[in-house]
Amino acid sequence: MMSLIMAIVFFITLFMGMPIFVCLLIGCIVPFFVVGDIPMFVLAQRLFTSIDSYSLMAIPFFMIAGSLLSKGGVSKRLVDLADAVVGWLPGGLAIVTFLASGFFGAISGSSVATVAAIGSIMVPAMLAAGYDKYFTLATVASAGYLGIIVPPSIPLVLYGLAANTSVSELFMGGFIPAMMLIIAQGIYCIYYGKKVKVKQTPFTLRNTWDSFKKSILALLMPIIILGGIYSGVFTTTEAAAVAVLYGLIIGVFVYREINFKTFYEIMKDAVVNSSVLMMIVAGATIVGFIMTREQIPMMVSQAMISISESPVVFMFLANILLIIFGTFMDAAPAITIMAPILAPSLGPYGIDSVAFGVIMVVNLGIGMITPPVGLNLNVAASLANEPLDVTMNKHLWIYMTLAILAMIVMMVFPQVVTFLPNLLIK
Amino acid sequence: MSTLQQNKSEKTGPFAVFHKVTGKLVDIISILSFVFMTIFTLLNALYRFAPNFLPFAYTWGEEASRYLMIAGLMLGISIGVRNNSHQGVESIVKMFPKALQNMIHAAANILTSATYVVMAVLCMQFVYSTMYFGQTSPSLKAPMALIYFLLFLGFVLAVLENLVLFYRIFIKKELEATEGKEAGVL
Repeated sequence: MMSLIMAIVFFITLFMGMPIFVCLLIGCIVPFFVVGDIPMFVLAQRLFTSIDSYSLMAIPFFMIAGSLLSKGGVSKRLVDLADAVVGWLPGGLAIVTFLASGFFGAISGSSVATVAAIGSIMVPAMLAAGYDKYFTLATVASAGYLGIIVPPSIPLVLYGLAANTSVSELFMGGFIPAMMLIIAQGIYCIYYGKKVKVKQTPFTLRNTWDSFKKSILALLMPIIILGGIYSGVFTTTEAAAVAVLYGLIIGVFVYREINFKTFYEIMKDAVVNSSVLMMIVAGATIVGFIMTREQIPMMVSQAMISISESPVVFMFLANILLIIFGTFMDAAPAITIMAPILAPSLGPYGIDSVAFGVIMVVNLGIGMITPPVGLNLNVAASLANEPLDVTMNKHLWIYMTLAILAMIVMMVFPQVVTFLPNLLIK
Repeated sequence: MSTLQQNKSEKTGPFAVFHKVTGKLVDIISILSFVFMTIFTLLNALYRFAPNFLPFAYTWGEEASRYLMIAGLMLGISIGVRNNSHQGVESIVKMFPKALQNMIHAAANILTSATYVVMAVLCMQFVYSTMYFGQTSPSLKAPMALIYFLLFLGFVLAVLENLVLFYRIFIKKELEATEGKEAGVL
């Protein structure tokens, strides 16, 4: 009863355009008020306990670190390195966009931040090199979602907490899928480059070495974060805090692009973005409390098993559901709402929680470039001062199809995801 | 009174000054919360490897950093409201005619304020229930009622900012209802 009222109120308010976390809160307030068998201040208590988490502190830290590096001049150096390595290929600058987004994703953990940081450099560069604006914007938007797949990733942290899965294993599981996506999209870029014959950067060892030297400090960042976590020196949260310190030192003392004013703005953005995200997490946790009380995840699990006992069929059904969810909701709220519902079904099907988590993030990453919401599309369009429609073209559909194909490979062969965690951690 | 004088009196009116001062204070306190949260977490990592590094037992760092994060996040709600950056799903509303869109946005804004008010009341009830038992935090020995009060403060400030936002969008028409929401998190 409570869950039904909650769902109705949530979707009505959601489609009214109200902030997602308010929709979640009002969706919980109304059934608490109507049914009335639990004191209402439990809502406040649950809200507090959901954000009073040391592990969740990694999220604001990754946000601050990502901003420090993107505003501290790191993105430009990463683009230069990617250009030196793959810029000589046909469609080189498009591949550079994917590779640089992958590098940047290893620092920031955010999709929108990746589009903004890499796109602001690549959009003018690609347009100047003769790439048409439709291909350019579709490429920048599609490359951005690598930011949440390449570890460290904020959505993977959220999934790990929601589904009680090791964040270290999830991070490790994201590597091969990210490489698969870069290769699949890169092949299309080469095809496009050969067809349109755009400008290519000549390859020289000296240029590559120079770019490598200039970007070495940025490349050290993921090594420090992931190396620290996997060697047991830091927890994920501490590693994220170290990333903040490292980003600040590089931005202030080495690249000298961060001053007090920039730092103030970075911190203010981090406060707002963390608050927006964590309030969604808090709202979704209260929703989870109501659903668990009414045994909804168990009912979903039983309903799924009654449809089919095949794990592959479950994966397909779950991913269709996630694609629908991801078309109108951002990755973070979708994960915090859906992970507690779907995760209890993984055990009966014998599906690895790490594999499912990474596939879920890839799926919701695709949602970041799926109209009508697709935040990456909005950011990419705004970078070129073009209307949103320009980003929605045949190149975008091709990138999406390739990403969906890669996701299907992961669903059928989850070993693609679990190979590295099994080899290096378990 | 001319329009210019009216605008001037509005900009320097007591509420405008109060709004500006509280806004700046909220910004500074939330930023400082995040700065100290980072420092305490770094010290935590350092203390594990060099316990004699600090002249006192550093057992409260994790707890302090968690509460500082909560302070920053709760104050951040109101900054998010001020910037209109709390994400919503606009695609359905955009399908309707402009006049109806405005009505839906106004109703949504009022409902949002009402939700913040209800949450503020519930948080205050939670604070009172904790004060009764005199609960303190395990390491810092800080009164938990004071920590829980941050929730109340966050929602009260969010109500204030949401009312200002309503005024700016629907009365002064200074900005669009969806302006600022394009900025996403992930």
